[in-house]
Amino acid sequence: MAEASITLGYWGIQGLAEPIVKLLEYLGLKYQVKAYTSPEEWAADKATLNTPFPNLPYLKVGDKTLTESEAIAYFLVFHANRTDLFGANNDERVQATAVRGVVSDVTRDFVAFIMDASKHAEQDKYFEEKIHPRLARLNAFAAGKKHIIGDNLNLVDFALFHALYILGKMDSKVLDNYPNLQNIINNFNAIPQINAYHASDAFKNKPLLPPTAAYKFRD
Amino acid sequence: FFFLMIRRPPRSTQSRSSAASDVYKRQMEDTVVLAYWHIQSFAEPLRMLLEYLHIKYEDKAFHTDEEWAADKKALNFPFPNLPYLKDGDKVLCESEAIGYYLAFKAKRIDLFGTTEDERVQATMVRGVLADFYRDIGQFVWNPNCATDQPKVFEEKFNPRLKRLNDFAAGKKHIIGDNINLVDFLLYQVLYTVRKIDAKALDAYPNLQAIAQTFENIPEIKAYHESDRFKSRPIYDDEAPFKFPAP
Repeated sequence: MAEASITLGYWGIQGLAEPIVKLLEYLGLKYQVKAYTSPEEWAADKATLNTPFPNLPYLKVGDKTLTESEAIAYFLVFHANRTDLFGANNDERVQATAVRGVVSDVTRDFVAFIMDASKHAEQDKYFEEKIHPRLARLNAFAAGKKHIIGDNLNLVDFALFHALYILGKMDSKVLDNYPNLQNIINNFNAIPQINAYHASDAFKNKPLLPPTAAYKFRD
Repeated sequence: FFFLMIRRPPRSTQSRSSAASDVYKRQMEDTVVLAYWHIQSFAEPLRMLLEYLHIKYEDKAFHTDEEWAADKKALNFPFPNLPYLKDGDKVLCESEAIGYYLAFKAKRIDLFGTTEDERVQATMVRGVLADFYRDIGQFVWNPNCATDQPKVFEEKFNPRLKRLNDFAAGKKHIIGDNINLVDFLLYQVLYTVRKIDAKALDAYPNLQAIAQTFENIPEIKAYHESDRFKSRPIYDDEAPFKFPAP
């Protein structure tokens, strides 16, 4: 039986969809990318997309289309028969949900910061007030762990890695005081499929932010 | 089972039986603590969930930053935030995680979804609702909410309501026949939107029907008739948007 074809639709950037791309790579699933390069191009497709809440990113699998990053991740976990990625037991599932809430909040905050040019001059103050307190807590939580939930890789590792990656691009010293998070990043990078994907042109040539973002990376 | 045996006895004095079969019952009757500000906001779906699951809880409500600061110190927990749930020695933050924990505690994993497809759909709806509920909070705290209201409804609220209404067609609850964790968040969104504008759901009959079905759940109905619900403001009194008095 032929494997249903998978298409991920998004802007041609890493943006908020990158955890899903890394998950597809990790799960070894074949997929195509539909990269939208203009709002008009997306608006045209959005009008005909057969899904209840059209948005980017979307995942087309066979004749079904799914939106909402977390739902897409859940779908892929079921599709690949890897429900261990939710957590090895109920306690891990609850912890992963809690971490996901923290990572979502951090992500939302730095995305809002990036998109608001009027704030960019105050980056250090912003990091001190909003980012570092959460990183400190995540670092404490990560003590002694291989991945953020423990020995077992979890869905939330994908979102966490990407958030820390972007923060690192915004401030190369951001993780200096958080050795446990550095450890978690190294372990994630060392996963063979992740390592291979990071070495690929598809990853290296993909811009992180949309062209409209006024944010200038420091390095 | 051993760790349940050595936990402190429950605060309530209802059950005095020491029979082994009653110990587990008393553990389930143990009071958990749900702590939050004295408003509905993000804690309300969790309060409704506790009521629905028949889990006894102390509804710990902070009115000031000082009250929370004092409690935070006493809690001695590495990542304190509101809302939090305390169950014996365990402290848990993040509303979604608390919802998961309560569903596991009550052995109601059907609330996640009864099939993989339902679980995926519920996750999708939760993503949409989380954005919606956040937009509602932003609107309530917007100093120009009165003048912006028509535009906010037209551009932000109504498009989502329409899509949710279409999605809800022919369904008893938002995912289908079976109640889901995400119904608790949906109800709170619909309730709040209707408090902002009494006519907000007029054009969305499927959502009205789902809200009514949810309200008629006996535990929810009883909770809504209680003083602790009726006296609780939806958001802070200081918020620019003035809700009708509770």
